[in-house]
Amino acid sequence: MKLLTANFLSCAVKACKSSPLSFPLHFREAELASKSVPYNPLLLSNLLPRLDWQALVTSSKELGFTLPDAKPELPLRSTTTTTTTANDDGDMNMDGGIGGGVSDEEEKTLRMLHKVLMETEVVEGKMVCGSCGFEYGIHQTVGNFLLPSHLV
Amino acid sequence: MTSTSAPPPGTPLKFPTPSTSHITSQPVYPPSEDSYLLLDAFSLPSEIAFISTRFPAGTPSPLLVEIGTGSGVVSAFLAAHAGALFGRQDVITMGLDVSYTANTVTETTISKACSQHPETSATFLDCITSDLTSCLKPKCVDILVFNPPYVPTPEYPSLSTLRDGKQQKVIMNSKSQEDYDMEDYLLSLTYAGGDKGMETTDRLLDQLHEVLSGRGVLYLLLCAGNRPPEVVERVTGMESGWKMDRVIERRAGRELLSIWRIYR
Repeated sequence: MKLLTANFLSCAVKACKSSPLSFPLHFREAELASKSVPYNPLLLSNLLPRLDWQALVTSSKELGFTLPDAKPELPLRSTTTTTTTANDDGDMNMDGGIGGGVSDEEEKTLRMLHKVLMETEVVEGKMVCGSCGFEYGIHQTVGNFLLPSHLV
Repeated sequence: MTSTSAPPPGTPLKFPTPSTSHITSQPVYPPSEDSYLLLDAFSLPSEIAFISTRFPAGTPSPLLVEIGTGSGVVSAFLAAHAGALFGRQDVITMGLDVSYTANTVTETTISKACSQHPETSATFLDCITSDLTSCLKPKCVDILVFNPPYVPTPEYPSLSTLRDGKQQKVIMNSKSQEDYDMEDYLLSLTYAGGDKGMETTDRLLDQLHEVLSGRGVLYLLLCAGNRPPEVVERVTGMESGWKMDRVIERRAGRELLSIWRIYR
C-alpha cells in the first residue's frame, strides 16, 4: 500500500465513518519498501488540492518521513511537456518537467512528494482506527478491510 | 488513434485490451462479454466527451475506483488508456475486491497494461480487499465502475466465509478439497446476485451519496433480469436528484446487457 492511499481510506465500521478519529488510520509495525513509479509532476500538482494535508503529515510521520507543516502551494496545471528523459536516478520518465515553467524550489517539492507519497510502499503492517481500535492488516502490500461479521 | 475516415457515430474507438495471460488457474472472473461491454462503453466518443467535460484538464485529479475488479481487465484498460479516454493522465485509480486472489491478479494486470502504455497511462495506487467501498473515506470517488454479481439466483452467497475465516491467501493450482471449496465459493461471489440479481447492486445504490464526490459518476452494468426500468425509477427517485442514462446495450447469448451512468 502506498502512503498516498492512506489519504483515501477510513475505518470500515459504519459507526466510525462520521468520527474524525477514524481518519487517517494509523500505521503500525509497518515494513516499508521503495517502489519505483514514473514521476508525474502534473499529477502531484493537481492532486494536492484534494489531499488532507494534516492527515498526510501524520501518516508520513508514522512511516518515518517529515513533511512540511503547511501544504505546499503549487498551481493547478493542465499540460506537461512530453520529452522522454532519464532523471538523476537513471529511471526513464515521460516527463522532463511541467510545461509553463517550474521553479527549482517547486521541482524540489514535487520530487520530495513523489518519493514519499508515490514510492513509499507498506509491504506488511497494520492500520489502526483511532476511534474503535480495529486493526486492518496489510499483507504483501494489499490491505484487508473486510470486517468480521459481528462488526458489520 | 489515427483513421482516414471517421467511424459512424456510436462506434467505440479501438484501444488494445489488456493482457491477462498471467491468469492461469486462479479463481477469478475471466474477462467476458460484460467486461468487454464496459471497455466499449468507455471507448464511445460520446462517453469520452462526457468525462472530459465533467473532469476538464486543470481541475483537481480525479480518483477512479472499480468495485469487483476480478481479473483486473477493466481497471487495467481504463488506467492504461486514461489519456485517451479521459483527456488527462493525472488520474489516480484503485481497485477493490472481496477476494485477495483477485486483488493480487489485478495488480499485475494493471501494472503490465500501464507499463505498455506510458504515454497515456494513469497512476495506479492500490488494490484493497473490501466489501464495496467500505474502506474508503466518504465522498471521495469521482469515477466509480461496477460490474456487479448481476445474475438472479435463488441463493445469495454470504461474505461471512471471507469475513470470519482465516486470512485469505492466493488460491492457485488447487490441490486440497479446502482450496476447491474456496474456488467454488469465490466464483459464486463473482456472479450470484440473489433476488432479481440486485442484492449487491442495491447495497451500493443505498450508499451512493456517501461514496461519490459532488462531480462523481457511477458506471453500472445491468442485465435485463435486473429490470433496468425499475432501477431507473428507483435511482431517479432517490434524494438529491440523480440522473441515470443508458450508455450502451448489447445482446450476449441469452443475456441482454447494458451499461448505465448514474450522476447528479
